[in-house]
Amino acid sequence: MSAIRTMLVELTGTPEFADGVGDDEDLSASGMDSGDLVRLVLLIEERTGQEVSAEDLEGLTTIADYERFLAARGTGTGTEAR
Amino acid sequence: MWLTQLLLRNRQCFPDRTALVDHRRSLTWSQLHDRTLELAHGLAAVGIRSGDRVAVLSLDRIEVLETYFALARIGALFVPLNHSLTPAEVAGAVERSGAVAVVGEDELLARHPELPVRWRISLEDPAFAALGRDAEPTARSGPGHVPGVPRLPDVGFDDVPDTVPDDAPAAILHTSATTGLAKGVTVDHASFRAIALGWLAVAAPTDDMVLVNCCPLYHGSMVVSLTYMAAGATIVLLPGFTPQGALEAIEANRATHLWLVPQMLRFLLHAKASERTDLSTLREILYGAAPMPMDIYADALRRLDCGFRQVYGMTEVGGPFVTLGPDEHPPADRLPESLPAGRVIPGMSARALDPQDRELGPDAIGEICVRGPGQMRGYWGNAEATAEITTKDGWIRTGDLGFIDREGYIHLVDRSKDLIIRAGQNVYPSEVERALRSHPAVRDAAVLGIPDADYGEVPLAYVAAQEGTTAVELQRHLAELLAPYKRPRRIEFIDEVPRNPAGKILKKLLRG
Repeated sequence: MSAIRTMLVELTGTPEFADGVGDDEDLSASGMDSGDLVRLVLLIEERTGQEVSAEDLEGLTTIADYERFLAARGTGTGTEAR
Repeated sequence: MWLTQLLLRNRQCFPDRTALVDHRRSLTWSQLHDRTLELAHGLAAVGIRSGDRVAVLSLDRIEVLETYFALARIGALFVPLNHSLTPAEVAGAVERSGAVAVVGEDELLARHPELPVRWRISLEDPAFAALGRDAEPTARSGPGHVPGVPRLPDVGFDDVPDTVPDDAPAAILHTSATTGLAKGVTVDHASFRAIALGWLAVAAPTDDMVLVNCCPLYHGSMVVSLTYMAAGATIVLLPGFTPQGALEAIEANRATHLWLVPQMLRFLLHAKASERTDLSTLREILYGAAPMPMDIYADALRRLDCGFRQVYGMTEVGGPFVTLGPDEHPPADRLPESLPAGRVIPGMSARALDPQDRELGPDAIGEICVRGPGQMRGYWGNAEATAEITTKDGWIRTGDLGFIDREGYIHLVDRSKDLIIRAGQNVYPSEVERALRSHPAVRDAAVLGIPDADYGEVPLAYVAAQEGTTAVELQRHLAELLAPYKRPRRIEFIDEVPRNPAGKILKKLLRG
C-alpha cells in the first residue's frame, strides 16, 4: 500500500481508503472529512520533516496528487508510514 | 434595521477602509454597502420577496456575506447550509425552511441537482456579479443558471427603502438540537443587534481590528463575525480551514484577532509554517464551540504573545452570550483543570435550573438556561420542539449542566443532552444510531463519544448486526445519510446493545 493510503487508513480508521477510493478521486468530494485532510497534511509534515505551504495545498486534492507531491520532494515511495 | 444600519454607518464612518477580505479579493465598507444594495435590487428583480427563504450553499467567501446582507435588506431570510451535508440532509433543510431559491458555488450546486427550489443562483456565474447592475446578465445553462434576470434600470440607494422592522426574521440557522432531528433556528434582526451590542460593551471590538475568521459562515458562530463587523473591524474569510491558510492570512493581513475552535488552534500550532510565520500582530485569540483543552492552552501560551477570549454560545440564544476575557484567563504557572465558560454579556441572563425548572442558588449544579433579547423566535415551523427547549418562563435550555458562582461565572460540568462535540461540531448520537439502524443487517446500535486528542471527542458505534456484516459496508451506508463529521471513527460489533427495561441504552455499561 502507498504511504498516503497507509496514512489515510491510520488517520480515519477507515480501511476502504486502502482500495475503495480511486487515485484520481477528489478526496473532499468522496466524503472525506476536512479535519482529516488537515491531519493528513500535518502527518506528512511530521513524517517528511518538510513544510507543506498554503500554496502547495491548492494542488492537493487526490491521492495521486499527494503521491506526486511526496515524490517531488524526494520522499515519495521511500516514505513508509509507521 | 440592524444589518442595514450597520453597513450604512460603516460606509459613512470608514468608507475606504477594508471591510472584507477573502482569498480572491477585498472590499471597502463603501463597496460592500453599495454592492449589497445592488444585489438586493437584483435578487428582488429575480423574484425574491420579503419573507422568502433563500438557502446559501458555499465555502466562506465575500459573496456569502453580500448575499446575507442583501437578503436582509429586502426582508428575505438567509438559510446557510453546511456544505459537507449529504444530498438528503441538504434537501431536508431546504424543504424544512421552504426555501424558494438556493445561492451557491457551482461545484456545491452540482452536488445537489434535485433541490425543490424555484431558482438556483450561482455565486460564480457572471449573472450573479451582474445582478442589480445596469447590464444584461449572461444567461447560461448549467447548475448556476439564473433564469429570467431582467435588465435593470439605474437605481438610487433610496429605491430599496430600509423598511424591514427589527423583529422581522432574518435567518434560519440549522441545528440538530437535543434530539438529533434537524431544526431551523429562526433569528430576527433584533437578536443580531442584541448580541452585537452586548459583545461591543464587554469585548470592545474596534475599527482598527482585523479578525481572521476560521469558522464557517453557515454555523451559528458566524454571529461573531457580524458582531466584529458592527464595530467596523475587517473580517478575513478562509475558504475552509487549513492551518497553513490561516497562518498565511494572519501574516498577510497583519491580523489582530483570530476566531477558531480549540482543535483548530492545536492544528495551527503543529503546522510547520507556524515556526516561521509572523504572529506578533495578534492581540487576541477568540475560541469557542468546544471546551479548551489545557494542553492546547498551555502550548498556545508558550508560543504566542497575545490574550485569549473564550466564547460560549448557542444558536438558539442568538450565538455568543457568555465570554471569558483575556484578563480572566490564568497564566501558565497556574493552570486549572478546566476554565469557566465566563460571564454573560450585558443584556442576556443565565440561571441554573433544577429538573422542576426552579432557580438554583450560587454554586448549585443544574441545567444552564438563558433568556434575553438575543434568543430565537423559535424553530421554524416546529412549535413542539420550541416548547420542549423553552421553559414556561421563556428560558432556553442549553442542555449543559453546570453552576453559576457568586461572581457570575458559569462553570460547565456535564451535559444533560446526549451530545458529542467533535472539533466544535455537534454530533447527536441518536441521529447516527437511527442511520445505522436503517441498514437492513443492523438490529440495534449505540453511539457514544470517546476522547480524541485532535478533535476533543469522536463518535464510536457499537452495533448488533447479522453475522458477516462489515464496518466498511456500514460506513458506506452512513456516507449516503450523514455528513462526514457525524460518522463514527470506529464501529465495533457486539451481540446485543444493552438496554434497561424501559428500552434506554445503557451507555455507561458500554463505556465500561
